Amino acid sequence: MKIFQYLSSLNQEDLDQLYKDNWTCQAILRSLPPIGKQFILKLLMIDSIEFEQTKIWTQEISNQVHRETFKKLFDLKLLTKNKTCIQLNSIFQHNIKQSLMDMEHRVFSSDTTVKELKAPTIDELDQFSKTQWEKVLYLLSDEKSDSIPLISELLQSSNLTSRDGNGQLAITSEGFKFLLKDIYTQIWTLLIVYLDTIEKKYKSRIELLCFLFKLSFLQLGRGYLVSELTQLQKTLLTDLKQFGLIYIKSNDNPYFYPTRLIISLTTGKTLSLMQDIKTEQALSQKEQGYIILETNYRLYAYTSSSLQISLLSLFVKMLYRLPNLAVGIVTRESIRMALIHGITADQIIDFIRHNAHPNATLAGTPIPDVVAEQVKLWEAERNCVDYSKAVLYNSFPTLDCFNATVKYAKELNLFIYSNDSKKILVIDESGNEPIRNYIRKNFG
Amino acid sequence: MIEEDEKGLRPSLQEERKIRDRRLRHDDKRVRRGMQRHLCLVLDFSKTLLLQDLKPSRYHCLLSTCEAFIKEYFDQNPISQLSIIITKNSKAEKISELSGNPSRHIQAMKDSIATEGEPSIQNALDVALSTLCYVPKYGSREVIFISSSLTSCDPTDIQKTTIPQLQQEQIRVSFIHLAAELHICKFIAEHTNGSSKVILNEEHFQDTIMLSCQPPPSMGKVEASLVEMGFPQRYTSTIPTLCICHEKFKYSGYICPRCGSKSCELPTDCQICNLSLVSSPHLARSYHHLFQIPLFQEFNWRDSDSIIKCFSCLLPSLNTSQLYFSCPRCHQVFCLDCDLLIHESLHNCPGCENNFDQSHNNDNDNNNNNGNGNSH
Amino acid sequence: MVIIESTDEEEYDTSLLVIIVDTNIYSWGNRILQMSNKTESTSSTKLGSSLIGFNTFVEHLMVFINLHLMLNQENQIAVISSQIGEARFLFPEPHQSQSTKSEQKSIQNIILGKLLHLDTTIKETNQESTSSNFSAALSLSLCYINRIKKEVPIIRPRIFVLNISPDASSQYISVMNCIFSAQKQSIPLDTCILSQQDSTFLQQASHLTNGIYLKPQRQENLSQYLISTFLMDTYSRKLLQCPTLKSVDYRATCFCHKRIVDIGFVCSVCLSIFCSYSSSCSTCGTKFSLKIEIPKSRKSLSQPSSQEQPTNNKDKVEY
Repeated sequence: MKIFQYLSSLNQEDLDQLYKDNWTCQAILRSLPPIGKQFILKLLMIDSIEFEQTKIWTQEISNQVHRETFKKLFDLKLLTKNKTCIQLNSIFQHNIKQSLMDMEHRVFSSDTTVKELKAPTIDELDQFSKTQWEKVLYLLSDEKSDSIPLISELLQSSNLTSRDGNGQLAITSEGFKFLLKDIYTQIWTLLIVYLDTIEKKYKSRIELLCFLFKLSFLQLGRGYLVSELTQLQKTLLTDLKQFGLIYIKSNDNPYFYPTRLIISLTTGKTLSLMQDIKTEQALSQKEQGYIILETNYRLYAYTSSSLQISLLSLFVKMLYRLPNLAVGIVTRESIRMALIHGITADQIIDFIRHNAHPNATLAGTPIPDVVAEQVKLWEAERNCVDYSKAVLYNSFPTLDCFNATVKYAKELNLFIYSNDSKKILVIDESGNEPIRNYIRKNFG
Repeated sequence: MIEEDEKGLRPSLQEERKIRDRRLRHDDKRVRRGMQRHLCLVLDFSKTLLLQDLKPSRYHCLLSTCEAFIKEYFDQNPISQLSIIITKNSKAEKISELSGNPSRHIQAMKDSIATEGEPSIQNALDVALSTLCYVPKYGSREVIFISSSLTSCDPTDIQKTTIPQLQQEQIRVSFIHLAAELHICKFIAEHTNGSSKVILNEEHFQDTIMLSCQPPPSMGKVEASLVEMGFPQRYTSTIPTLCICHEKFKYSGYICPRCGSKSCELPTDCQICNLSLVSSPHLARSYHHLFQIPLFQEFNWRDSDSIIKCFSCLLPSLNTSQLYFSCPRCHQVFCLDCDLLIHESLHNCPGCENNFDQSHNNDNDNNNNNGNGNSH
Repeated sequence: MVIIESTDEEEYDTSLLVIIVDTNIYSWGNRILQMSNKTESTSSTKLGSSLIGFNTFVEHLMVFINLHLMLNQENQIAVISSQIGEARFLFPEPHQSQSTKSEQKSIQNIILGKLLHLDTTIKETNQESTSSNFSAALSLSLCYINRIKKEVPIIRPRIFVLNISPDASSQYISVMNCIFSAQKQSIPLDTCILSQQDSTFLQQASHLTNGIYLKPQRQENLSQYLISTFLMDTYSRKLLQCPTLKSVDYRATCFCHKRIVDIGFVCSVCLSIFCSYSSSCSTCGTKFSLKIEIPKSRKSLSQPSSQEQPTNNKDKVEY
């Protein structure tokens, strides 16, 4: 997960400061893989334990899982090793124990006795975050729009877009890869760059991270008082609105509302958050996949969002567009165009699999094996010819001369190709001089 | 009574009622049932099995339904036994002996692939007779014949020879027809107290055969007797010892209390001293056939204005298309899903359990204090 | 709406935990007596030095519940109390008054409030019994799990029982029915025993459903036991070692004397077990015939494909 990669890259001091915050510790505990959580729980109440003794925690067949999980925990500096004993990071341990005593779990007070007249509903919040994020993605695909200057800057500094010769913003190959990833990886990528800019401005990257983690504990659909935030956090609010993570009506409105994106951010998948059954059903309809790919290479996308269709047109030749359906065909040309832009076949296949229509997933494979193999073959086509500059030697006077030269070329690692019957030798360009000298010396 | 829900659609209450009634069709009268069942499953493996009127073919449908039936049968009647007989080419052959091991039966069924020729009803029933006549009289003796052909090739007249023998041995023969009902089959069924049914489609086939998992009421005067059974303990050791069922060295097994030999799995008959070996959960699985919960009646909640909640899962009645049912004994209200769960899987009414001193005293005979609990 | 079912292979730990708390006032009252006796007597039993009372127990339990809800945003919980004569839902509340929006209590606060203010009135009909109605609690939990599984198909349920009362043998049949239903739906049943005796019902239940059975030796550290053992979700159980019982005693007890039997006599009609031969069954009243049949010698195992007629001679010896 992107967040773990980023956290592992921070140094000890930063991580210690991060773990001082109660909510961060809980958020990190929550986003660990299941086995990781169980290991932390076992270490929670004890001081230290011999590392060898932890081997009995897993069954014999899952030794690899044991190693991988411990490696992850060490990378996050949650565990410290002291000769043969390991122990849990003491600040982290203390904070988790503190939060166990807390039955309230109130991050910010959400005192809505003062009735907010037009509080946005959960559907409106979902719609807002969706349109906001689509605007961000449009910035990548459509050069002309410059609607969100902050995001434009971030995109440039993360090498997703660049200014070409005419001063126009154009999407890079990195940018293409970015488009095909899932939304949470995309948000984190941009957030990480944003954190760096905040660090330069205010030197408080850690505080922003803590704020983000705190926000993920809020309840969807409830308003929270802006007055409870610190100064820095208030300035960050408007920026977060541009990401679509927070909704606030205007800059001086006393309430802000978290959207589903920020609450699901730490877990990396959209949560259903059983607030009530109606929203759960609505969510499952929205977030489902929309692509059906057939074995005759035809692709049907049940969507009306022009962003999704323009994403698909990166590697699919679009044929028809109907009010709720777009039909296209995967051809060699369309895949080659995508490959030329730097997208790999694996990314295309992952993208389709990730966004496959649930009916397709139920019936069998979301992407037919034929099509997946063919896309990979088209990618391999581009790699089947390898160029390197070389020199051709023919008309050797004698067979001995030929054989000796071939042997010498192989010794010097310049050998590329030889044909015994036609007495042809091809060597690397840089070996022209040494081979010539050798022939002149030994064979006149 | 036609109603509309919020979307203006007429809800399919009638559909739901029909589905529920079909699933819960059983009689809950307190009759004596044969708990230890000995069943011969006769399969017609004639060439008509290759017909494709049942998808993907009658053969595949038969195999998958019978596999599900065998598993469910042993799940509901763990101390019972089953034997499979197939008939083809005018002959009948027993492919698995009367035993309590479901995987062995399923494997034997899958191993017999060839379907050819015509079935022979008389021969199959004769093989079943020869198997079941050695079974002790207190157990029930049943034959389920799944026939798919419209013909039969028999050596002599069934009516004169086989049927009197079946009646004498008190064997109950039931027929399930995949094609059409044959008169002779109906005749046999009537005279041996069995049933004759014709299936409509694959789903109906599965439903019909699953009804036979419940022990049928015993017919006539059944001799009851006390059966001697052993309750072995599981024995694990670091030194492997020989087991008598596979003749292999194993580390753990069950020691027969009478002769001390080791068997691998329960329930089984000890091969040395012929004692039935069971464990108490096996007996407990059959208890729910004896103490059945009455069918719930539909409860009209729409008359009252307040929202009611299902007693066991707290599901509120938000939608007018929801069905609720009440138990005639404890008068608590349950939703449709709980009703199906209670009758199909749980066999306990939570409302009656809550008043358990009352209901158990009144309705269950004397089985109050006779559970298999630990005595402290 | 298409519902996609999950398999047990996928790596996630969203769980529904249904906790059955034994709130039998006799057992907990006895516990207070035991604890006060311990302070008087000098020699204490192994467990006698570390018993806890109900309030301490609730504190340990709340820490456990808090951590369960903290582990995953989508984790759900339900708490059922099994009391004398009946079982009740503590959370979710069966009779929910319309909560005012401004005063939304957290789940933990609601559960804590309910546990500390239990309605322990006993109905008139149940005045004489002293055992908890465990079978009703299990039945309620299975129905609730069935409902939640329909609403959130990917959630993985499990049941956790905290027991202090002895087994009630009259509930054996109902409890076994619930256990078989849980076994069929692959719902593990974990048990934590706080009394000094083991409970055979719960041993059998945990063993049959692949659950965890634990009797903590030092009850004052109960939360540590709970956190390190019972928070294991269904996915992790396949990869990690869990405390299980080496062997469970599945032998039956006879109905007449309540002794454990190795070889017993089973009535073929009602399946009740007796330790010695008698002429009629005490439960169903059937009279047993005294005819003894000598079964025919076993034929060879493989029967030839037949056109043979079966023979009908049997030896009957009448006494």
